[in-house]
Amino acid sequence: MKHQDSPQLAGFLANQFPLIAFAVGTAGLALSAISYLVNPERFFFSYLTAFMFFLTITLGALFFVTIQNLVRSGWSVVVRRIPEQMISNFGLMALFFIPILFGLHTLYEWTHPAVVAGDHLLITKSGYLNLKFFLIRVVFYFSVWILLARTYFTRSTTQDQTGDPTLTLKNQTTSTYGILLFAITITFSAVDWVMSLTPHWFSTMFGVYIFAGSTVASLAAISLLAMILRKAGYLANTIRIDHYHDLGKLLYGFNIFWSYIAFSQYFLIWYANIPEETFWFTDHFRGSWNSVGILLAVGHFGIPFLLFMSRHVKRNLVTHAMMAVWFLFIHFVDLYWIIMPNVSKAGVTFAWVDITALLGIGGIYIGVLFTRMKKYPLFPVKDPRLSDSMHFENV
Amino acid sequence: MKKDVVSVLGEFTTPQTLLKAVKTARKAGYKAMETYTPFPVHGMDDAIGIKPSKLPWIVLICGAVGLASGFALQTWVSTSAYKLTISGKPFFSYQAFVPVMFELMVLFAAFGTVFGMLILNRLPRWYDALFKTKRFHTVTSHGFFLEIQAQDHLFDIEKTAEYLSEIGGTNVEVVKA
Amino acid sequence: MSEYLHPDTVIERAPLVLNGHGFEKITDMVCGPVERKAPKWWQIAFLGAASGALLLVSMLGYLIWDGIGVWGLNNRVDWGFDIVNFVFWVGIGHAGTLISAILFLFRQKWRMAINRFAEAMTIFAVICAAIFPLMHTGRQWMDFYLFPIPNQMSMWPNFRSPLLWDVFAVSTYFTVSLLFWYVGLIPDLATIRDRAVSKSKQFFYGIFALGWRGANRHWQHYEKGYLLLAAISTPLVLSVHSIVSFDFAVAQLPGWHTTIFPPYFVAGAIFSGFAMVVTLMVISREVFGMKDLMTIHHLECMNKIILATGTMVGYAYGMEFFMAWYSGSEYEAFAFINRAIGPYAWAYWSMISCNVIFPQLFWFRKIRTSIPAMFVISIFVNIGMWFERFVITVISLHRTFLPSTWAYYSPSWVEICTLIGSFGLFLTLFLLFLKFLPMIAVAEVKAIMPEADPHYGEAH
Repeated sequence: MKHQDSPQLAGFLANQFPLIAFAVGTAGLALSAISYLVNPERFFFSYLTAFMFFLTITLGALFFVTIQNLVRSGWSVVVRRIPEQMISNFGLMALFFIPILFGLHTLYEWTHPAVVAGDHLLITKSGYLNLKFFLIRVVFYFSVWILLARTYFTRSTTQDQTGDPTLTLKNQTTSTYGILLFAITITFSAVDWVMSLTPHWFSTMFGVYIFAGSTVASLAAISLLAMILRKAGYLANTIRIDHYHDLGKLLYGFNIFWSYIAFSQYFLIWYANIPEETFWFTDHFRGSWNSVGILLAVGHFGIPFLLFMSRHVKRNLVTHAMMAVWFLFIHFVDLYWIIMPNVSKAGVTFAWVDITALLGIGGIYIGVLFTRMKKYPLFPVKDPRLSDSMHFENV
Repeated sequence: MKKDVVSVLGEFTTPQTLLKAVKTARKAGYKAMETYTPFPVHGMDDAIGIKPSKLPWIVLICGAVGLASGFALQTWVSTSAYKLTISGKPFFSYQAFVPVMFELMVLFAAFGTVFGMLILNRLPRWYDALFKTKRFHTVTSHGFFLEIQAQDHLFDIEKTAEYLSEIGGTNVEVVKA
Repeated sequence: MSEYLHPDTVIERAPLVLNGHGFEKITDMVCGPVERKAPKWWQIAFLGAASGALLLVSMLGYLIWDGIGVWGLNNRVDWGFDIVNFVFWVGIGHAGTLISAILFLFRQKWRMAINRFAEAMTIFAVICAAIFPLMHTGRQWMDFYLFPIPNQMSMWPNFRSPLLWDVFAVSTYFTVSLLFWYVGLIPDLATIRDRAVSKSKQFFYGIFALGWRGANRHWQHYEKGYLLLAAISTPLVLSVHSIVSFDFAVAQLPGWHTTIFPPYFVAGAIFSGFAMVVTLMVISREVFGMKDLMTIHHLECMNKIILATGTMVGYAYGMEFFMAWYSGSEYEAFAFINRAIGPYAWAYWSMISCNVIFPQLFWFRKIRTSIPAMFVISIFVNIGMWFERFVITVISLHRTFLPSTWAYYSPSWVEICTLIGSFGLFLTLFLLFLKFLPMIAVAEVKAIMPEADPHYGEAH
């Protein structure tokens, strides 16, 4: 079979672009470090938000790779390398978690024995919310993610050389238990790192809520990365409009799923009106946070639901790119709204560390991503279903 | 040309030969064509040259009407027609209106889809000239038919019938009203 | 190709129609049962099912005549079999819509062989479901008050009540499912019309076929319409069971009020519905000789979905339990401990073993592809999902905040006979469907055969 597209990344995207990203990242991290000296509390919350933003995108990519392997998907083969590259950044995300370890006492009130001793609820929860078990879980989550990611990535890139079809089947087998591990780890990491910021509050839906946001953001990121490569002249005949159309449909569908989950969680708590649950929403609707909540309802559901319904929007790459950027933005707003009211209680306050932390983690993340991209083909060149994927037509 | 002649009909054995024949006929200049198949054949719309369906617009409008009427009905009932104080919630509890708004949107959109589809297809139509022809009953099982209609500017009963067999049609038949 | 190559061991996709039948043969195979005289087993089965339906009618008659007192409900447990059965039947229906809509959007071509079948099941299950809430109102002749109909008392329903949302959700669901099913049937009704030998059949099927001729312009709008119906049915199916779950979850009762209920109910509904489809399919493909169209591959795909949704349900059970403890609320914790070791522990453990443990056997390919094994497991799942609703409804209700009101609920003979009767009604309708309508979507199956591809026979 003949491929018209070069699978080898070269030129600006391979050489200069990662350097620029690294430079932005380093500058961002340095500025954030300065802000730590000014206001450590604010720094940790902003940093956690930025960390969660990139972590959820990476987790969503892990879900994408797992589910596509699990259902023996044909159409997505040409796209798959991009999320495979993204999940290889889990090791990097583990490094980025280290600063959070230093901020545990700032972020999580249940880490203070004195606070716990005076709080009946926290005493009850201390079997789960205690430092030792928390750290064990951190190690567990990252080991699972790194191992799963490495397994998929190694097999897939080995196949680029050997063309061995059994590797596809092996990845399929891994994905069966992989999806279980994924479900457990994303749920409990969401509970640990985000929900326990407000340790009195609880919602059985919370893991699903974070999961829904992750898939939306990661699909947007995958589309966007593919379009960046396309702009530079790669994959133009490999990832065709039909594939973008499918990515767009998934993005649209998962965004409705997010809306459904977000609405249900809010609605059930609003309707039952039990103080032990409603206080979370009261806190998150206080002052100008209310406007952020409205922005989420309109911007995460209303506007995208209407604007991105048409197939033309998904098939036109300009509008598709706008849609992807918008979803990444609104996903950040979502995380911001979940996390930041814990530190800025009266209403939204802006601090430049919100931006620098995002740029810091993001710059390094993208730099590492593109550095790795040039070492491996841009799409699985010898995947047994590659031909399926290249010839697929979308109605 | 006789007035009661509607079209000429030719039979083909596979979707592939039918599609090829349509493309050939289109190149030859025929425009008023229709194919009849037991299942939708991919690529036929382009081959005959028909525009995309307008159905999505009908559905969109119906859905919007459903949503709006759901909201209007609930708001009117709860805040003016029959006020009930229940579980300490405001009369205008828009959150609680969402389920019914959604259901009415879906219901109206579904009606729009089905009846819109039937209207666009001009169905039901229990009588049609084609039903009188000899072979047409196989169309719902395994028959593939190409019909060249009388309003085509190239239409001529004998020549068109001949042309149909030339491009591979069998059992060519003249359809009369 | 008679040997079954397992699709998990090869990259190639499994063929969806076995033994290389042509278009005409497929038509014959599917239309055969409709055109032949009903076989003896069908007549016997129909008699059995119809007497079940008769039992239902007499139980409902007795209920209307005597009042709700004939049921075993008491002051504490005021929702019993009526609500359990309602949720159970609505859930069964969800598989049909999932297969017809969601799998269609995901381009799962294997669905074509089973969607008609599953959609029929949806409609009949929703009919069975609707009976229970309409009956449990007490004064059934006042049921029209459920709908916003202008009346001489200027009364309007309370739109902030979850029970009213149910009215809208279930009636919309029924209507849309029926429309979807009918749209799918139109080309196939035309097939039977064109093959019919008797005038009456020609007339009857002809009326409902609406004069379908298979014109390309018709197919164009038809396909678009079908796609749109699939697209609007997908959120619909999610919404229906979510709204059913709201009935419970908006309350303050421990065991009912938990935020994961909507997606958990949807997963459970799909789980139970797929199990019912497998149960019915295993029998039908055998007796109607449809093994080449409803292959082991189809059944295996179904079993995989049962495994997946069963695991999701297990996840939800786990989350509920974890959060009941994590919340630190003693009432929450008690509700769940009471499930596991209280007087209804037998129901709880039946649910856990049937829903969480047995379906896990589907991890093994041998079991996934074994007809007897999947038949037994699918029945277990049906039982388990019925118990799930029992656990949620009854166990949560029987011991709430005030210990002096605690009570034990056992169903009366009327309730048990009503449940049996609802199965009778379901099977009666289903047998009528098998006899009088094509049980496989003929046009859709043909469209996914390799011979239907416009590039068939060409070299790539």
